[in-house]
Amino acid sequence: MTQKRSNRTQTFAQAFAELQKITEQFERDDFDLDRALEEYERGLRLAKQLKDRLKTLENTVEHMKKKISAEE
Amino acid sequence: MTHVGIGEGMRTKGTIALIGVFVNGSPASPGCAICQMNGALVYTETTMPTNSSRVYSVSELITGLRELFHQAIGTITVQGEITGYRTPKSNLVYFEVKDDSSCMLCFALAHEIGIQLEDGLEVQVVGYPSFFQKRGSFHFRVVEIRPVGQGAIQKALDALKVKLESEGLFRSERKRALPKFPERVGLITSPDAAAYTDVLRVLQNRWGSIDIKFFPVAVQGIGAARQIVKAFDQANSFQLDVVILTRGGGSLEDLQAFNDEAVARAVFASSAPVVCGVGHERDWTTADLVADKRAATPSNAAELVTPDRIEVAASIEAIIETMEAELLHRTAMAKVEVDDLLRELVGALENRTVNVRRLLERVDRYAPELDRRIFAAKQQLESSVHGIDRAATQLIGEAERRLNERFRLLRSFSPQATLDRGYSITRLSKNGPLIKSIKQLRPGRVVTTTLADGSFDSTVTRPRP
Repeated sequence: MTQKRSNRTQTFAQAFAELQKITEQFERDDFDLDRALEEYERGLRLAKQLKDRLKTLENTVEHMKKKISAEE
Repeated sequence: MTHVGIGEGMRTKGTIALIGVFVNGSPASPGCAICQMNGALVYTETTMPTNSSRVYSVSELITGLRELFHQAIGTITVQGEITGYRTPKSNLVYFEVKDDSSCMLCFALAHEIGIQLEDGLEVQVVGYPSFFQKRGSFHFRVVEIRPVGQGAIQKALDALKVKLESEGLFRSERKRALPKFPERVGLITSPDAAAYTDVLRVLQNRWGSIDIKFFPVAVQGIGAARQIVKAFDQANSFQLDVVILTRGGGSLEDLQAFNDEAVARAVFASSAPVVCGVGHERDWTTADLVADKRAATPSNAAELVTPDRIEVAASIEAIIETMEAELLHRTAMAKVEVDDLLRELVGALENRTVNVRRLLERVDRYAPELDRRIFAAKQQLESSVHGIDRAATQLIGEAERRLNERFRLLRSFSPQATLDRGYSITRLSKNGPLIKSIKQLRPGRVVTTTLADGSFDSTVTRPRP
């Protein structure tokens, strides 16, 4: 399970955290304008990815086997 | 002829006086007189035409009585105090229910009773009067028991809460934060309950692509607590982001499993944070108290574990807008800096040229007689002056060209163009958030407005939506 997880592409939470980090950089006084442009573009890309993911509607439900009642 | 009487002391909603007539081994409906009266059940005697020569078997009589009582009285509720509680076989429960003057044998099957009984407990028993087929004795067949008031169950629950609290199971410091964007959610509830569909529906409405592991359990009755504990054991083997333990509302007996000590400890030991939601309950169960987060209803539990996709989309937009505003601010500042630098550069170059010209003029004035002698040198000097001029012009031109390029670049993404057209940007403070709604403003608030060529502060007097 752990392995499957780490192999996955960036999770929503990770991408969202990255976007927030970019915004924080913008709020720093010593942020270089050239980098600001790059980061702005990266931010736009992340935002688009996140919004695309928001369109994924379906949840999956996996029924775990109910061994319990058999043992009763 | 048979007559059946029921003594005073049985209170029902609409009270019934019953006269059973027994004909040919079975209740004779047409001859059965049932009269409704207000008040207590009354003893009545009826004389019926019966076959007095007919000999009944005992079992005929008992079977008939059972059917007669069940049909005539149906299911009723009787209140009294439990005494003589006993379980001679593991699944058979006997006890008496008594009041000040009467006592009645009660019989039930253990799995039908969701609570732990003990003598002295004031209860309402739901069931119907009946007779044991073998011994023919009267009893009350119990199908459900409800404790009354602050009974023993409540007392036991209070004691459990004190115990768990003293062990630190309810401490707020140990409550874990819920993940902001869960990907794997464990759901422990009954598949038959509305809670199950409520949770799935809300999860679906608010968020997508969740991997839901559903652990079906009974949420009340015998064995429910054990099933919930096992479900947590199972859930711990998955890397879940959060676990929802939920059920609809119910009486204190219904909620027994959620007030179970083993369940409380399983919630405490869960490897993922637990949200517990019991429908519409004012009182907290022990599972609620131990859980990392308590939800008011099953739907609320689902809301607590998921962000709302619409809100998240809005916050992504807000982040982008903040970035754009910062970028605008930074490009405006950069423009000012570049302007200043260029002015300095141009000024310095102009000074140089002037100085060289003055020097030349002096040479022209004071040394005409040396013209010929220094003709060659002068020519050389002149040519280098032209060179400097050209170089200066070139440098200025180059600088201007670069500046223009930079402007074009900046303008390509900068809202400066918009500002140039006369629009302005107003913020809550110098580098603060943009004001997009009148709701952000209060009288007396100082705001900063940026125009194309500068900015000013102003004070809000009367915001008008």
